Amino acid sequence: MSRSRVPTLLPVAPLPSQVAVGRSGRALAMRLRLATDGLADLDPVLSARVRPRVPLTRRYGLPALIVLAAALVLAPRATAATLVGVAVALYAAVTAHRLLLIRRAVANDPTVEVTDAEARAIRDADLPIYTVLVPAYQEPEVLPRLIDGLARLEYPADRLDILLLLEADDFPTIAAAESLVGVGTPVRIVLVPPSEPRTKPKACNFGLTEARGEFVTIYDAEDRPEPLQLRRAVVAFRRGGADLACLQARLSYHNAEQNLLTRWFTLEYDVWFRWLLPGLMATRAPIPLGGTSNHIRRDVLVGMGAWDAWNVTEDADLGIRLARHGWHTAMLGSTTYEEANSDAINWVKQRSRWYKGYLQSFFVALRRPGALHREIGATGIAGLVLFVFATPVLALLNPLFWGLTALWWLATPPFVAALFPPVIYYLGMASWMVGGLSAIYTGVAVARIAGKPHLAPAALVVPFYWVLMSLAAAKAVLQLVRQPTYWEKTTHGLDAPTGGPVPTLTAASDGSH
Amino acid sequence: MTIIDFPVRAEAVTAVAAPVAVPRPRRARRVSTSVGLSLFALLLVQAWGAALAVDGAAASVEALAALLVAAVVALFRLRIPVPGPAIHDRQLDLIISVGAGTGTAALVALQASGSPHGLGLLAAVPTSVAVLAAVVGTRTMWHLRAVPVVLATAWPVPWTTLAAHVDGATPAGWVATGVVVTVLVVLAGGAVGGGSAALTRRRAALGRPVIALAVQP
Repeated sequence: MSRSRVPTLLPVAPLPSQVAVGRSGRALAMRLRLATDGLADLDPVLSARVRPRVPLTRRYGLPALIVLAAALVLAPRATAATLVGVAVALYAAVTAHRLLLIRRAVANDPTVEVTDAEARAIRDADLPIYTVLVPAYQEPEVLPRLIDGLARLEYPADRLDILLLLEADDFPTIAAAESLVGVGTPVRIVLVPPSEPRTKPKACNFGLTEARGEFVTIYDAEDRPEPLQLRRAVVAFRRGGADLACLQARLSYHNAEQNLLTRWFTLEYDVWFRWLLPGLMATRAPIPLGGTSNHIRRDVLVGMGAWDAWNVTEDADLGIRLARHGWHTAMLGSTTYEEANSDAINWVKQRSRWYKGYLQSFFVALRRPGALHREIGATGIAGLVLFVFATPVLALLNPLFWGLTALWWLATPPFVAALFPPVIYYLGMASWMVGGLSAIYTGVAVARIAGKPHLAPAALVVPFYWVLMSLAAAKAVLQLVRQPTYWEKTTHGLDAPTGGPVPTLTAASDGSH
Repeated sequence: MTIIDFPVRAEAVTAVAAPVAVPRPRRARRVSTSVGLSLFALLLVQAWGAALAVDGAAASVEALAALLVAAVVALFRLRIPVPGPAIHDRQLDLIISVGAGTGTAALVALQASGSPHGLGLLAAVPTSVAVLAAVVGTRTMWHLRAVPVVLATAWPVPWTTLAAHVDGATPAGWVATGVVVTVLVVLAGGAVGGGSAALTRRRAALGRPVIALAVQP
């Protein structure tokens, strides 16, 4: 449990106004530098930017590898059994932790709920300016739906500050945006100069310098936010304590029925946003934020050094940094619908980026272990290890244990038995049975609770989904070594047609919802 | 309630960039059907051979037959355009290839160390996966997934186990026969890429009585 303390901000210098909206010359260069390296320049230890000197890695990593290699040569069985024992203990701990999180979320769901009436009760004049950042890259095909989704937001136009963040050399998307958005709307097209790293957080940082809102949120281009979400967030912020800096809305998928992969993905997201993240919130552990629909106080966001442009899951990283600085994150009872990835290769690419980013965020947080312990306590660190670190690592380890199990069934080789002394064997067996069955059970249960019982059969065959996760984890680790800041782009627009016509908007549209 | 008043060009909002469901080409259906029938015949031959407890030489012939059928299946399947979006990932290809290659190495090592379960024959399955992923890529490998399934039929252990149950002529043996062969037929249906779950279910429903009768000694 993290201890109560006064939230803090980093010593961020105020931004000159000419730099904040710089479009050319020195002002633009400074603005771009701020977007790319603002956090890393402020404190290199907090950023995933590659550092020229890595003393910790040299001092501890290499010797540890040498000792491990020597142990494997000198006492292979004992060393291998020890490694298997550590992995089995991690499996057992993660299983127990997940069940605990689910229990906490089910017993006393801490998600902040705001009714429609409460959301609409605030007078328009009392609503703050709300900045909506929408980064898009090479996805002109999803812009019509994006604009449609934004137009459905129930929020006064004069208090909306929507920034469509496009890469300056992404001409098809720019052309599509210009054809959709006219002058005099709350939507501004912001062109981000092409530079490395080409990441979403860099684009968001670039847009943030000219944001005007008291609160900031991010939507992906294919998102369909619930129309009252911004109003609900405002009410939740007003209701929350002074240390409430961030609200994470639920994410779900509108194309769950497209194929088996989208069914698995939807169930996984429902477990994640309905139980696991609220469970983390209940234990006050750091919450790895979802990629979109996180609503943040702009002053706090700026005071955190904004997003790390070098981290490929900048959202998870920001959630960890908020917790480390004493800020509170809560779940918001409002759902944004996204497009579930329906193609397996596309899915592996997307998931590999998430896993790589989780590992990046974990290792960055661990650079100052003493400070980390002071900031989030032992329980917070446990949550970080068992949730952020273990998720990709166990996905990576799964094929090893599946392979050992298959070998045992096929040929009963003695070396497999040697890897599992009785204590490890029984703990591993218990983890396998409890973990596997609870994963299947939670999938079935959440399908019913979320009002999607037709997805329950997919939960029964979810172990096949884990194979894809393992492939993604292997790719993530490979990239973490070779291309740590490479942003694996996900292709959108692969969802099945909904059947009905897309609603159209006219210039005179002011319809109420 | 005031909402955003977008001067949006209405005609531009009507396009949804989603792939339109295209009916499966007739040629693809024909190829799938012929490949499915070949696979079905191979399963029958394997089951019969096991039930009649054929000798080692005949088993080798069956392995060779599986290899030939796998090659034919690959050729037939390659005549159909690979479905799905043009999304590829070379890293993923190599990861699958290395993973399957590791499986091959483990099976061959166990065979070399004297394992009596014919693991060398089973190694053909991960080998085919490794080669296909590395050479033609993950998406085409999945398109050709019938190849490893066909090669798996050359592994004698399930068939000898099946034959032992059938020889015993116990109710449990018959149930096991039905279950094993149904699973194989469903797998074969899925591997051929015949399409819908309904089609796979129909194959399964047909497979149960036909194969159960076929493997009678």
